[in-house]
Amino acid sequence: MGLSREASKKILMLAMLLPAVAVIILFLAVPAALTLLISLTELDYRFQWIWCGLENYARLFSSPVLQLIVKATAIYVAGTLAFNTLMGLAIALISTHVHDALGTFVRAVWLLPRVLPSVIWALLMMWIFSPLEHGFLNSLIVRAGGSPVPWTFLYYWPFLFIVNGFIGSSLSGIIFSSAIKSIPQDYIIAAKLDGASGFTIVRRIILPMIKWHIAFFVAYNTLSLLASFEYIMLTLNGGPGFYSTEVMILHAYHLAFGQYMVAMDFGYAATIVTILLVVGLALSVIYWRVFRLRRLMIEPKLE
Amino acid sequence: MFRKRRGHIDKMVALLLAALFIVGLVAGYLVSSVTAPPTTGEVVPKSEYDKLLRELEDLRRQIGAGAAPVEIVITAWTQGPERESIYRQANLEEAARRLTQMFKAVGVPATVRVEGEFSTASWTDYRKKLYLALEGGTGPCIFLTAHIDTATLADNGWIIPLDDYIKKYWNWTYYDVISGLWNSVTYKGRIWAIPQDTEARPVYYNKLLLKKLGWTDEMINDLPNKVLRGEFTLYDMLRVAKEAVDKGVVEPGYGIWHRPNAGPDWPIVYLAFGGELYDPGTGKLVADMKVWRKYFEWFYEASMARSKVISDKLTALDWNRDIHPTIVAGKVLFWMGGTWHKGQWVSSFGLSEEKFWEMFGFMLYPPGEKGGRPVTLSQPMAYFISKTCKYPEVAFLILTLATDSYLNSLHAVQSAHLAILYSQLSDPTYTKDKFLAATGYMVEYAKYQPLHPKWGEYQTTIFEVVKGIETGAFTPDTALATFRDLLRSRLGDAVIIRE
Repeated sequence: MGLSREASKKILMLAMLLPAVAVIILFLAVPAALTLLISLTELDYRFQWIWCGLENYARLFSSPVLQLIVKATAIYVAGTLAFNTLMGLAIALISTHVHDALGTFVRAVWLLPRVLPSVIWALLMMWIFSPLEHGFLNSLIVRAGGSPVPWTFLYYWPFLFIVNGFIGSSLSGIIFSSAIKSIPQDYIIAAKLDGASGFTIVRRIILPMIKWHIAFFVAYNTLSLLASFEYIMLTLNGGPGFYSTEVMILHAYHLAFGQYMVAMDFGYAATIVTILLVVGLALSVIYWRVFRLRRLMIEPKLE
Repeated sequence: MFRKRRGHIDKMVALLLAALFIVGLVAGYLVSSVTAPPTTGEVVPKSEYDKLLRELEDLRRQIGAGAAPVEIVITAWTQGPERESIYRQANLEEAARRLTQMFKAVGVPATVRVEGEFSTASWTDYRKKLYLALEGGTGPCIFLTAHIDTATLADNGWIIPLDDYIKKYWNWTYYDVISGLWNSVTYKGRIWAIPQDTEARPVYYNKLLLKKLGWTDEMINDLPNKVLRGEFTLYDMLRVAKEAVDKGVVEPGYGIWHRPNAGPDWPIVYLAFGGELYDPGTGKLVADMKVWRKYFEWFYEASMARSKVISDKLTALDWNRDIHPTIVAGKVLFWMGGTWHKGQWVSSFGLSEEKFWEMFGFMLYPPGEKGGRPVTLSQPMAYFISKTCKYPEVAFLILTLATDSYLNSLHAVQSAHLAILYSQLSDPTYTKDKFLAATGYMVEYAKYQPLHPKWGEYQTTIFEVVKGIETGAFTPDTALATFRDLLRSRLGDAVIIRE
């Protein structure tokens, strides 16, 4: 007899989905659940699983530094996201409107920070923007007769936007430029024939046609920035000053793995990560609604 | 046609990238050849190391000739992080060799070998690795760490108390240990470790800059004594530094420098104002808010907002990239450092021995108020024996043999740490080092950090608040309020806050 055609089709579909589902459960759902569970314990350097209920959350919400780390996170995510998106857009627009070889070259060069080991990239940037006289920029300024500028000290947020953004914008640049390249030339030629200026073409044709790519990048980048701290750690490490660039995930890292005598406070650190997880989930839902990303998934918007 | 063009573009891109690469290489080479620091010699020449290995091999072969020999392997982890402290490991290896020789002399078919490593990782990383290994039962038999870890190690049952062994082998060497050091490893009435070295944290002053300020040689050389007599206070130091800034002898912010990160030095100024950190009666930490107010006021007065003596960028700097080179270059008037910095400057930062003596003097931390007692802080390193060690007595014998005047002096001289044995003070290896002889008196004025599992959080909080004051986020009032909040939130009832 065998199964009905409909049922066997469903079983086949399930079997095909299984590997992906297994990967998601094993590598995404399980760690998330574990983080949540750890946040309910006093897990520390002894690795003893002692339940403590919501004590860690109470501790976090009464912490004198909570406000500072939330503020730093908001500034960091918003600023770096803006830098990544706008810079990526600029790279894409410029590199697709020059000679092809030059355009590819520019995009390839822009990838260099991404292929450099992060420690080296951070060291380089710290050297270039060092607040002391022997920093690269300052030594140029001093040689030209100016007085040194305390870059990382006064302009720590722009500095971090640049350190992260030069890496992040290479991705957005590539996504946006490939999207621009796939816009049929006819539209642009027709617009040019009608006498449209370059600016009008960008505003009325190019931007509307790549808005899905921009929406995708913004959503994706927000979420990854929430969990990104390595370049802050390698450069300013939460400073200069009192918690000025200590974002939430960096604070969690410091509590769990890396301050002089205060470390391995895993339970408390997991509390912060859990909250970030919830924020990330909420933002995903909001982006899904606001950008109507569902429509992006249904049919290709560009041929 | 299209394909041909594509290939042309690829070639162009490849050529451009290659050109960029070559330009980068050439520029990098030029920059590095101009800025490369002079290379320093290896700590232990490879030939020496190979020779020792050969000797060990020989010994093993000789013992193997008789009855079936037993090889006892004792694992040991030690930590720098500075390379100059490698004798912390090498002395254990030498002690094992000596023990093996004794066995051989009496015909015992046993060899003892120390296995493990000397780590130059950061303290955070070393502790993490050590604690996880101890908790997992895979820790080394002997390990070195700072004496302040005693509380945590003992409370977790990871180490064994050593009182009985110390009594048993007292006459071998332990009578000779400078007696105050035992306090640094005594916790809950028992001794948990064998001191390995100690140090003092002096304030270095730049003699050349003081001369520019118009000081005579006599005044400069008398400064440490004035501090001892309680005639030169922390505020006098601040005043001199301010004068140097005002007169352009040093740049603004270069009057007084301190370490850029969290560490053991932070309570010293509090101790200089007469503060207490520990209540032996209750076993709790203490925060005396009246003294902390003086502490924060002093740092505020020194900050860029007021006297422009301590740079607001200081806490954003890096030890090796910024701090040491700037001090060695003679740009800073007062440096709140440690005795081992002199060792680092001479061996890794290109400062010659002569230049050191020409440029630097050193003194205790001046008292906070006139007539007060000067102070410094010591953080002895100590050897511990873990609970999982299979041969605790052999391990202890190795520590006993390593606690040797000559071996310890080798370490002390190379790394600029202070003596732990009375006999070292007359050991020729030790006494020929002028610097160690000149700083030796400081140990008498040294205080220790409290042994308490929560001390690390207390100490880190001090640093965070000072960082806030120096970068302009706090006034003394807001600093004190934040400090109180942070202590309450992080330490709970482990701290007694005295208003």
